[in-house]
Amino acid sequence: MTVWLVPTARAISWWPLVAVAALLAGASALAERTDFPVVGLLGIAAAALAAAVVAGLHDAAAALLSAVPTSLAVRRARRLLLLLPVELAASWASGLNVPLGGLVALTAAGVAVAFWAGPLAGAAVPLAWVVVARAGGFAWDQHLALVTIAAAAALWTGRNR
Amino acid sequence: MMATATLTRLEGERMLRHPALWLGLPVMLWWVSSTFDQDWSGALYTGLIPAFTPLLLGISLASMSAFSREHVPVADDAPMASSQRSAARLLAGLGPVALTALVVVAGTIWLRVRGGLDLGDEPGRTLHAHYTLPELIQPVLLACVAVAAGAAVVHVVRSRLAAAILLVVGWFLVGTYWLFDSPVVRYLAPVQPQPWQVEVGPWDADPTAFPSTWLLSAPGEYQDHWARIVVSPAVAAWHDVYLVGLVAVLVGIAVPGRFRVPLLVGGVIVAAAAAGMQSVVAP
Repeated sequence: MTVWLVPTARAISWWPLVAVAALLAGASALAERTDFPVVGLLGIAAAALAAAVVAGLHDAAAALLSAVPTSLAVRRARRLLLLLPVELAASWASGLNVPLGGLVALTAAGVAVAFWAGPLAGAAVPLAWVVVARAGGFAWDQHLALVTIAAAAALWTGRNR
Repeated sequence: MMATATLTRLEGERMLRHPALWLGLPVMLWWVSSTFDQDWSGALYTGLIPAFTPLLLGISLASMSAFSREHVPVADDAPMASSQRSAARLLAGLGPVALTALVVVAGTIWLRVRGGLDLGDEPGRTLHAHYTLPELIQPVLLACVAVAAGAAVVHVVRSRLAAAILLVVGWFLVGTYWLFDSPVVRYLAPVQPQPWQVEVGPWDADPTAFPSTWLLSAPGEYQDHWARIVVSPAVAAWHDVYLVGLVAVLVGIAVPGRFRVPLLVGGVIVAAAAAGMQSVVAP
């Protein structure tokens, strides 16, 4: 039943999630030191974690595995099953209190774009989203429910792409 | 020598054609325009240097893209050693650095024509503040840091995707300048906007009793006292030296060969000394 667990865990690139978690923990410690509100960091924290999850979806052996009976959708779901709890744990460990709605919306959007256009574009979406919001001076966490629903639809339709 | 020049030209052209660089420029201008929407005194003076962040990120991504090509193995009898190829790619990074210098020059001219920036609260206020030369050099040196950071991160991480994520997050955090506004840390942060504030009196002090030449910051949401606003060219100059040390360290990480150890050791010494000097000359 869970024979896939260890091979999948070993195949995932955990580097980005670990590095992002370390960066966010450092930023959180600095923010605590300066006594400034951490609100300005929540967007980039959510985007970075989402992008790291998307990076973890990258399968270097995708072409080779395309011939096996386990579908692409199942292989992706297994990876997400391992990645998402670690993403939540990293979010909690950072001490930034990243809003769950924002994290879910950015992760869903990134993963959906990754399914349709590849991991590079998928990782770029949440990061570009927050950087553009910062540059434009507007809130990054608008219409999160709509974004999540649209991303979920794109995820479902693109699960085997 | 000829081969190095050729690779430098080729990589330079590729770097200047990289979309991240040219996306970073309009996003930077957007960041600048959104800085104008902030109504607190000194928002523009403080915010214009961090507004370079998107351009610096674009430079880092272009540099990362160039240096990631070093992971493609070449024949042992290739005409250039790996250290020469790295050096050529580093020299190619001078193109984006020159672009940043052009933006700084254009911005300085624009500020001169505009008459300067608003800085301070009444009765200690000016509408004609201009950046000092060391402050203007900072974005150009930050562009050098961006080139070296892109090279160093992809050299260590190996994966382009992971390197890109780390660079975006890293530059975003560096651009969030208030994060580093604490003792010691402010000397080590790559982006160091001025002015500095020196507490000069409690919230109920009479501001007209302060010398008329002082620029002042009134008590408000984030401070419960009157502060003097000080722009320190000496701190900015030593911070520029610190950035040179930082570039040396990053180049030492990125470029293999016999210069690696001298660059790392020299860079750490220069950066540590410059950080120390900042604390000595700080107001």
